[in-house]
Amino acid sequence: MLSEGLLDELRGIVGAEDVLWKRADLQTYEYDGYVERSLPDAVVFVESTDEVASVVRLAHRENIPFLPRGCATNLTGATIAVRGGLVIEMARMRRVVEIDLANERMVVESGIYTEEISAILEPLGYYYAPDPSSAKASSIGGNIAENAGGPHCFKYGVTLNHVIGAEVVLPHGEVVWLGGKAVDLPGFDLLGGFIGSEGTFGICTKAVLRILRKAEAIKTLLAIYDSIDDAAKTVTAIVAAGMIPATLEMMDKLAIQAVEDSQALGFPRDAAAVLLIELDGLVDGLEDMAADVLAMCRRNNAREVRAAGSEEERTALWKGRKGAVAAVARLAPNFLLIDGTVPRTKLPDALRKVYEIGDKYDLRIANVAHAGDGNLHPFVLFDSRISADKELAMKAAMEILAACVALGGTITGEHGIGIEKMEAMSILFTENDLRAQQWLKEVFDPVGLCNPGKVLPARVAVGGGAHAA
Amino acid sequence: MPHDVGDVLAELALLAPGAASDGNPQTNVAGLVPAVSVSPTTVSELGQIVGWASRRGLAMAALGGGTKLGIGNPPSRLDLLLDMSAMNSVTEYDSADLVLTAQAGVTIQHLRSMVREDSLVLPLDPQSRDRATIGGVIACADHGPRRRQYGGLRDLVLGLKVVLPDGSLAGFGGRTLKNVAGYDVGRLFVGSLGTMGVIAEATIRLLPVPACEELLLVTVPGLEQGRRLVARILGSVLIPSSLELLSPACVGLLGFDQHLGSSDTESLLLIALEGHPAAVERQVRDISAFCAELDSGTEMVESRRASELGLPVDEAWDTFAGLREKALGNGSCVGLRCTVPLARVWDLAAAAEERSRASSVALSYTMSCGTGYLEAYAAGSPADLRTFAEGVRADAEYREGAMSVLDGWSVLGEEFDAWGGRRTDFGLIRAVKEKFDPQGLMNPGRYLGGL
Repeated sequence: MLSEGLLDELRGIVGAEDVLWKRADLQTYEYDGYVERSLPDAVVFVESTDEVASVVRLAHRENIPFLPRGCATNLTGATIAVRGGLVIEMARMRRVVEIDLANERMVVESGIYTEEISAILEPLGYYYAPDPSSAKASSIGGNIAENAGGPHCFKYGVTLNHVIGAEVVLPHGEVVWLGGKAVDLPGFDLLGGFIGSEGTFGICTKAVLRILRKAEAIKTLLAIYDSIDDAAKTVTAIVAAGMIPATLEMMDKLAIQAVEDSQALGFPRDAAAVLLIELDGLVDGLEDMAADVLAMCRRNNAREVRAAGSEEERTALWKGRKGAVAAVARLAPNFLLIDGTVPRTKLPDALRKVYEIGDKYDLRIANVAHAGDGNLHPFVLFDSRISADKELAMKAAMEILAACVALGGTITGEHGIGIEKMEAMSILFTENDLRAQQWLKEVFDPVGLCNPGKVLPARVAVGGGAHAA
Repeated sequence: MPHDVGDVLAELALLAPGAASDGNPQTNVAGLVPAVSVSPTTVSELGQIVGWASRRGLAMAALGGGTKLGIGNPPSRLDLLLDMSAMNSVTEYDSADLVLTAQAGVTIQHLRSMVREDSLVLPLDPQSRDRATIGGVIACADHGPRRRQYGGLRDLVLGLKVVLPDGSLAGFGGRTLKNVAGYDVGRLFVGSLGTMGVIAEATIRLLPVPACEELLLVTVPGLEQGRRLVARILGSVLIPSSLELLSPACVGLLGFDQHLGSSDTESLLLIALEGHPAAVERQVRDISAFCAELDSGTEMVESRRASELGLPVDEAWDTFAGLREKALGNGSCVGLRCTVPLARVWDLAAAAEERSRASSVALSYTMSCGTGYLEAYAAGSPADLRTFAEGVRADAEYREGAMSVLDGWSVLGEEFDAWGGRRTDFGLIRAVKEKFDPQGLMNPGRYLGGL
């Protein structure tokens, strides 16, 4: 509970209506895409960098934890106020500051929807490349906090590769710029460290984005397989032929069945894998490359290949993949969606491990994967009304992540650590690694008020390193 | 040196038998000769040496191929040189996964040749790549022309193993394209000039060799035509992987004028095109058409294929990679590196030309027109060079960019800061340095603000 005096100070900064403090109002802000809940003490709607800085200075002065909240689509509890305090709601900071085509830059406030950015750029012939599946409902500030990926990363990279400047309110209220419109400004790449720090290093208020010319042409193919290995071999063949497709997405049998149940796209229910392949670039040579890819699919035993000519046909091929999360969600009351990642050629091995673990715990696990970059998305299905079920799901998820690490991969490719995977950090990192990460956290947030209780496992977070102040 | 050299050598001999020697005056850093040089062979040996030196209070600097020793301010102290040349093995290489891990001392040329055999590309084209090492290139963020298409070191480095100043080993990132586990400390090591610790091993992304590669050489009579041509290309759907402009003096220095038969007042734009043969041909056609649009009749903007000029594509880029060394060895005393928002690089070049005339400085330069880099080489009297460099820095900072010294700091004088004006993030930069290297032993003095 915050004192009435403090609430008044907050109202003085943002206006009386823009501070929520009643329990009923706060309940909307106690959860995100993860399964845990925790009530904040107040929610503050900010409209400018100055307001953010004033609120943060106040929180710093009063030693109150705070965290920024975009659209809260993250899946790891990154926007849950585990220690109470203030939630700083960024939804109203969603203006476009500048579109600078000559320099291939766009400057936006951080609360803008990711998809809105490309919608604004569309008539100008440009777009912003990273398109996480949540793009319709996620903010660019959230994407920066999570270093969001999406289905186009194999060719175009992740958020880190497309954000080259950020205005940040540091946890003691100072406003700084990390990077800018020019690339590679001298000094440590603090922006590179900030991106993906899950809202624990400060609050991004504005971002400078690299924007790209839209590709002249796109060609989309969908191949259906009786074996995951054949689908994976196709991916390897495509890359070996010197092609860098914009998209290489895979769905497994259970995901295919779920999609078929909800949308009836004509996928065979006994298919083991569907591979969605998209090539983009200049129109010249594209049909040729598509024909090559088609031949590779066939050579690797695809039982059916569909190709899209028109935009409508393309949308139809994407429909299954785009609807996969919703379709899988219908299979069980709850799911844990994790995103362990392995070197690309290890994808079939990783999926085999996923199935083994599912069998072991008697849990159904549906899979979608960014096959180009080895990024798995196992949906571990469970029923939260059965408490043992949730525990088993969590156990299975952790075992899958450990299996990914054992295959030379990592515990998260896009979703981040949040509170979900804090304990899994030590599967991947040594004490020394974690100590260095802790140092960086302390550089940005020496007092530890900015989105506390996330990312680093507790013993490190509390203990501090050899050089701790 | 706060300690006796004989003692230090004796102690080092126990840690790394046969790897230590007296400092060699030829491997000085901005004139400062290290008392002792040591050449570790493994990551753990490097860790032991750094840990020992740290307890001893010795100031350290890591040396790769020695191609970028002029960058930044001179060191304030240098006791121990960590010569990385013996750490030259490729640790892990999986061609199907498009990734390799190499020790810091492996040269870029070695890596490029190795992966080429498997039809892969290491999309890094730094200068002097026969000597430049992967560790040095990362520490100095020296990418080369294809940064526009494939990203810079911050984008291509997937993971790092480093030795922290206390000698402990730490790893960041990994071997996958996507990885958001924990705080990405490794990013900060890119361009850190060895001031946070020593890069021991790096994991880098590779790409498949494109089906077709072409190089266009476009002669450009003046900056204005160059600006218009590049704006036309960047505003189109074409996808050049680099757009590198050479000033007339650089064209001569590299001998491209002999291939072109061009006059000594023309600049040269090198445009790399990669991809499906039909897509490459289309771009060659379109760019020729763009050139024709610009042609005023008297001043020719002419685009020719490297093959037409009897110039193999690889050879042209190899020649280009020798530019910095040639320019600096050719009487230019100062090398400056500028970065600005990409469209403003033209104004910056025009301003630099104007200033070179005003301050009687001989200027040659190269520009990455698709990313906003300008690298200038200047010769003249120390006073004129100082005036020139201060002016170019002001021009770059005015355009929301920055200018740093690549080489020749000593000519510019004691008070000249190699890095320029402090930005709002300087407090954080200092805090990072103090947190990671509280004793100030890692390449001290050379970084921003004398850190």
